[in-house]
Amino acid sequence: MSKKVAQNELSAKDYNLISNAAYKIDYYRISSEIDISKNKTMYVIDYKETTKGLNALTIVSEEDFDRSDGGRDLTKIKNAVIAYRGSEPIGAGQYKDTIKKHGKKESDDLLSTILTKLPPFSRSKGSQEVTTKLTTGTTAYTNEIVQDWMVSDTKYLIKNIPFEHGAENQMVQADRYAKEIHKKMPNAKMYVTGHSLGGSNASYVLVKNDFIKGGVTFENPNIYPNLSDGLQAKALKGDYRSRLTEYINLNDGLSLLNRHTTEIGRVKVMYDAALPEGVDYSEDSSKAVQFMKDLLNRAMSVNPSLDANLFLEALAGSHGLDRYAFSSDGSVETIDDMLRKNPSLTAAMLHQLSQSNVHPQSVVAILIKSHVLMNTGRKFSTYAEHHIQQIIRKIEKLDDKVDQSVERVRSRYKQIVGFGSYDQLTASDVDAVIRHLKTEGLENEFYSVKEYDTAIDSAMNIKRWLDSISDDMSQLGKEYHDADTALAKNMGIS
Amino acid sequence: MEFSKKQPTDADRFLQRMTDTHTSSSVFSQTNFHTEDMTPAELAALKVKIKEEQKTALIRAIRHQLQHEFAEDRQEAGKILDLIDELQNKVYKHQKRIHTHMSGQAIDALTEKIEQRLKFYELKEDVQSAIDSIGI
Repeated sequence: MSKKVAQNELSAKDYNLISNAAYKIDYYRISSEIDISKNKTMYVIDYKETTKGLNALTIVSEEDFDRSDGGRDLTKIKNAVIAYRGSEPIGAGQYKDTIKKHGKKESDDLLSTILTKLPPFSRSKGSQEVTTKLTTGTTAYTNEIVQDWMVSDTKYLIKNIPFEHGAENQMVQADRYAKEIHKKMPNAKMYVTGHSLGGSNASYVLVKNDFIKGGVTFENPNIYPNLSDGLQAKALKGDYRSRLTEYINLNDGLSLLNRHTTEIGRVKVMYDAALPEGVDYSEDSSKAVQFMKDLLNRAMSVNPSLDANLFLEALAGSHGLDRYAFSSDGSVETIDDMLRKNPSLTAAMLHQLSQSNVHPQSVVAILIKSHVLMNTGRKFSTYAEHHIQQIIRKIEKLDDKVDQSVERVRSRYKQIVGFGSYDQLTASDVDAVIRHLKTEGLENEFYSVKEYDTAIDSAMNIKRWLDSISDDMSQLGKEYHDADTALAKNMGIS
Repeated sequence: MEFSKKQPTDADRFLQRMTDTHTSSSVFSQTNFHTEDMTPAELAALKVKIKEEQKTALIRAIRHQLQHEFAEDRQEAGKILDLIDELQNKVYKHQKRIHTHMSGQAIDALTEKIEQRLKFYELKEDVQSAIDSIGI
């Protein structure tokens, strides 16, 4: 028996599951059951499918479903979530399935199709060669992807064109659908969610409509540049921060798109366990992929937040809701959490950060750098307390070592005098010989006391500087972290 | 002739054979030396000569043994240099990481401080000198 659930009880994990459900065609029917955390179930009471790429589910709790008589009396619904479907990643398996479904054999067809649909960029002669092999029977599926990725994302999000300039883009349709639902269920508190482009839809719907009480989105481009002047002004004031949480992934080019501008909601950086060391930037020899990279690199002059490698990585499938990990309370495990728990990750994250197109002064960068500095400060402290201390101890023992060697020899020869070859000698002769040999040595020892003292002083000096640098580094890291917190407070990011 | 006042054990004799570096070519230590015909004065002079020779041999033997011991000490102490290298590599790895991926006035000052203050090559030179000084 499923437990009752209200939207205000939904965790980030629940929103993640709901956003994931929005991808599945099977759920696009009334009364579909969607399982969320803690053995709870939610129900689809409305959905939208358009030929322009917009797909959305409206779902309610079991309590609301029962109260509304299975969705027949929508005015009785108290809480509802609209989940917008995102872009389809062109993962290898998924792509093959699509080709199979539509009877295609040539694996380059889909990409070729997409390439031919790219509107805003001029093509070189070389790139034309790649696109000459075109597929003629463009499927509904490829249309959808082209619509999602190459029209909405490229045109609106990369070129920062206001959504309101188009009457039929997904975001405008998403807003229209939310308003329709609000009319149908005027007594319901409305919430939105979505992944990728679906997340951008959800964010846009939230900023456009005060009746949307809250939203949680995943790996969507920041839509701030696509907002009207009025909405941008409200975003700058932080009007949406208390209502909207956006989770982003540093491995995902779509997540990072437009993150160099003002953030609308509270942005949290998820920890991507699937790619803890970031995306592999090794070159792909495929002509088509190279063409895409060239194209996207050219587009970077239009949008500095666009990372061709990470964008293609997202296209290739590193852009999924299944990459999230959750704490027991259903909250997403963020990079900040993971860096705190696992300091060795900081180096990998720093590497990842520098490979991606994240602005070095961005909040995300500052957060990672703060952990790097604090962890390095701790490392230097360990070097000062253990490593150099060990070296100092070993230097200090040099004189003891020499003394031990001398005593060993003294003892041995005292044992073999007074008979045989040394029958005329006694133990005192051995002492006298060693005393005599000692006077031949440096500073009447078998080692230089001066050199010995200098070496100890030199090591002590390194220890002092290691301590000092450790303190500086920890302090700097702490101040970076404080700066991050202050920035987060100012910008609605955490 | 036997001047010994000590009763050595078999082990002592063995040790003496193993550590003895002076040869028995000395005329004073030849076993067929006829002390029976000597006067007490000659005998005393002979004993002094033999003692001197044994002492010279002892000096040579102890010097040789100490040199051997100190060589081992120096070799063992060389591990300190390895520890310094290890620490230096660790520190430079961090420094390089910070320098490569991060920038800014404070960061630059920090990496400069690491470069200028943590002079591991100087420490190595100083330790090497201390190690090299061990000997006769």
